[in-house]
Amino acid sequence: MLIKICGINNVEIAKKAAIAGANYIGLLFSNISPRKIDINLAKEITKEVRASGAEVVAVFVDESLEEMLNIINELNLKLIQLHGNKVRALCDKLPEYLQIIYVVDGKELPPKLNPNKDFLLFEKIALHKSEFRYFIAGGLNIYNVSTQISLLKPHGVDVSSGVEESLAKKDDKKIKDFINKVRLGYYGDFGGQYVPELLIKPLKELETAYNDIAKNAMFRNEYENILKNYLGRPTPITEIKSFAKTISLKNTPRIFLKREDLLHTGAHKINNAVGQCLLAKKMGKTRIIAETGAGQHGLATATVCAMFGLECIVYMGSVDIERQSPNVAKMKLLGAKVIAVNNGSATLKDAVNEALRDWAYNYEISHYCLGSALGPHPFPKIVADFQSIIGKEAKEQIAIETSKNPNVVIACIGGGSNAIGIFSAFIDNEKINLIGVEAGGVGSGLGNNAARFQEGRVGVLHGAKTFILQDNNNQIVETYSISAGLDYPAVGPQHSYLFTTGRVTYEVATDSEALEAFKLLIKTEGIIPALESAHALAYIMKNINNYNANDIILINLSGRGDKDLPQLLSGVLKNATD
Amino acid sequence: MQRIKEAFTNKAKIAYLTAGDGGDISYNYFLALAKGGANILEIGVPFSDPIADGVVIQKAMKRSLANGTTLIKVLELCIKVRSQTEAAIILFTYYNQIHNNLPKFLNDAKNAGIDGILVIDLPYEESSQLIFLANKIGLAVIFVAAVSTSLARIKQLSNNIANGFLYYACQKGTTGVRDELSVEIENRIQEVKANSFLPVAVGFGVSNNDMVNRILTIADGCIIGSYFVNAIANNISANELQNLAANIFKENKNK
Repeated sequence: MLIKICGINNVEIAKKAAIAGANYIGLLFSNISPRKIDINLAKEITKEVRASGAEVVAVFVDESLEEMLNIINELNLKLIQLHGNKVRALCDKLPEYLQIIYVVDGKELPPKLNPNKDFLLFEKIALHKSEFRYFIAGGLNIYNVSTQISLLKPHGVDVSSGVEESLAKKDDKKIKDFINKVRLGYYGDFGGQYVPELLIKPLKELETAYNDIAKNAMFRNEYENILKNYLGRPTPITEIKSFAKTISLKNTPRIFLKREDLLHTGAHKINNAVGQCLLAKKMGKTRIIAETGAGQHGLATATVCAMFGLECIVYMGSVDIERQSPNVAKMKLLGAKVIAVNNGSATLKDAVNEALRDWAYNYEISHYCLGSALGPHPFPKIVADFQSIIGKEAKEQIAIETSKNPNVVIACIGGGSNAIGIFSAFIDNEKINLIGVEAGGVGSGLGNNAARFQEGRVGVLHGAKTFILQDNNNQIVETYSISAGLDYPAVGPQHSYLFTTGRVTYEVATDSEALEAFKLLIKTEGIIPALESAHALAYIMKNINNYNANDIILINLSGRGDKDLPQLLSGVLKNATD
Repeated sequence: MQRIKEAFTNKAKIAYLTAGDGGDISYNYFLALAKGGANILEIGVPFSDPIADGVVIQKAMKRSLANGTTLIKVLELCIKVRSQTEAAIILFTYYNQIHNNLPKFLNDAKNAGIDGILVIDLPYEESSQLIFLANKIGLAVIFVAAVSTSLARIKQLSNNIANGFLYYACQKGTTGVRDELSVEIENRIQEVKANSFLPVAVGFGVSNNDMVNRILTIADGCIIGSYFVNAIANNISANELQNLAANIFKENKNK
């Protein structure tokens, strides 16, 4: 669905609209328009809009041929909109290469219309003809746009006054809401629902159930009760003074850990598992499918299933089964069936493939409890929602402890659920820096790491458009990280959006940097972090000099490292216990 | 697209293989299927993570990728196949393989003699650009209807498409060989046909001549994939594949 935001007269708004996912920014030059701009402002807007991946459209109303040609040349336009008979009469004299949006109100079609490149735009009546591409316009807003789309099946939507706070003054929040409404399940250009037809129905059912059940107060009460009395929420924040002193010689900032490691089963994953399994139960599902990398999501799901009396099937790559043996044993004790996946790299990616295939067979009785903020819509949204408790608590706790907001919030990123969970409370406050740390593995080069934002490209995997590590032939490459939970070639679509907008900075920490941080936190603070979370700690070790004594640093300690010990003690840390 | 229409004038017999499976003789396999009675060839582009496919086609894609198959090589194969047969060619692909430059890819596909395209993980909601671009150059866009697809949605999936057919995947799950069809399949195919604006071809799990004939008494076409792919996994020769196709597609005149 193409989205055109018309009548923009401000550079900042234009840029925000483009980043939020608008395809076209409409500019008006006519004296009769309250949204009229001059050519210099148009040039500035055009530059920003193109830099953000969108295109500008000049909307002509009563201009002379000369005026039109001048604007087309100055802005190097490919697409224009002709509004009204006067300018349309001149279209013969315009360059052939131009794509034209013809505004049509009655039933007559413009004689010059080339259906292979041009568009129509209907303000009142839409002609239902598939041989033309058409926009709908006229009084669209967030409340009516969905209905109009399903009724008129346009190729695009055009909005102007529907996203304004007052005449000729656009509201960036309204623009964002409008775009999100049109592109349900998208974060800017990322996300979506790229799945085989068979899964469309179960995904729609899940979305409906989530909206109808999971958002109501009764469900939330039940959910929060379990978080409190079964999981042990709220988890505390811990200031790690001696770790901070050890890594900084002077001007030591205050560093706090959000202790998701203290949660039941030892990681943040169970926040989401409780929410999704409770929802599945209310949907009447009796069987839960899960994929797992580090085993934390599998363990969390197996635990919740044991409590709820649900059948639990966990897909896990055979490489991960090897390196996360304690979790496998626990899952089996809890009654889950752990199915080894030997395909591909035999890690998380392949486990997701198998879980999706299982769901395609068994969706009638099964819920697929996806463990990270990835996959097709509505999973990224649901997982982010159930993990948002991390950020909500941490924000309050930091405020109580320091009477301030943190300056920077840091989290490791595999699929990205712990990160989005803690970031969610801070995203709106642009003064707070947000940093996601990807697995740098053994260094740069495809196959050596899981650094999607360093070496990946936009693609489609596991139902979503997002940044993916892939080769020149668009085949997904095998990733590598010492930490099973970060060893994944794609990333949650919201992170791709936050990366593109620049709201979150994405960095990497290598295996050895993560190991150093792992050891140091144990020695200085008596906390054994998960290898995943150690990547976030490694970032601060490397960059401590960028911070001073007034700074407050919040790090999400997403899980505990007990699960990693057999792997480490028989491998890289063999001599550490001598 | 004329070729697709022609294939459906009687009953369409659609055969799938993954391009490049079997290495250099992949091309002979496709011709063997055509000689054996397939009037539509479904040529699969291998992908590293084929979530819609069962284990038989997953392995075929893995073999094909190990043989060095790329999208360009698949198109070259199509050109060769096209030069030897008038069977319609449908390209079966995952979206990640083609999304980078959709207009160019579709033009290349058209020039390679391809008649239609099926993007298995691009549902109708995400397809408006593909439909528009494909219609423009006369490529058919094939949509899959699943057992979970509502009748209203079947109308939607088969409308707006200039030509082609509706691929009805008659079983849950992924592609793969099944021993039998469900007892209600006739009724369901009738329903699908009654709601489709396009001819309906039925596939997923079809693996013997009885199943083919049972489907073709009602449906307009029948699709066979994993059964042939399995044969290639067992290093069958092109001649043997031709016989296999002839036998399974054989119409049972007694019915």
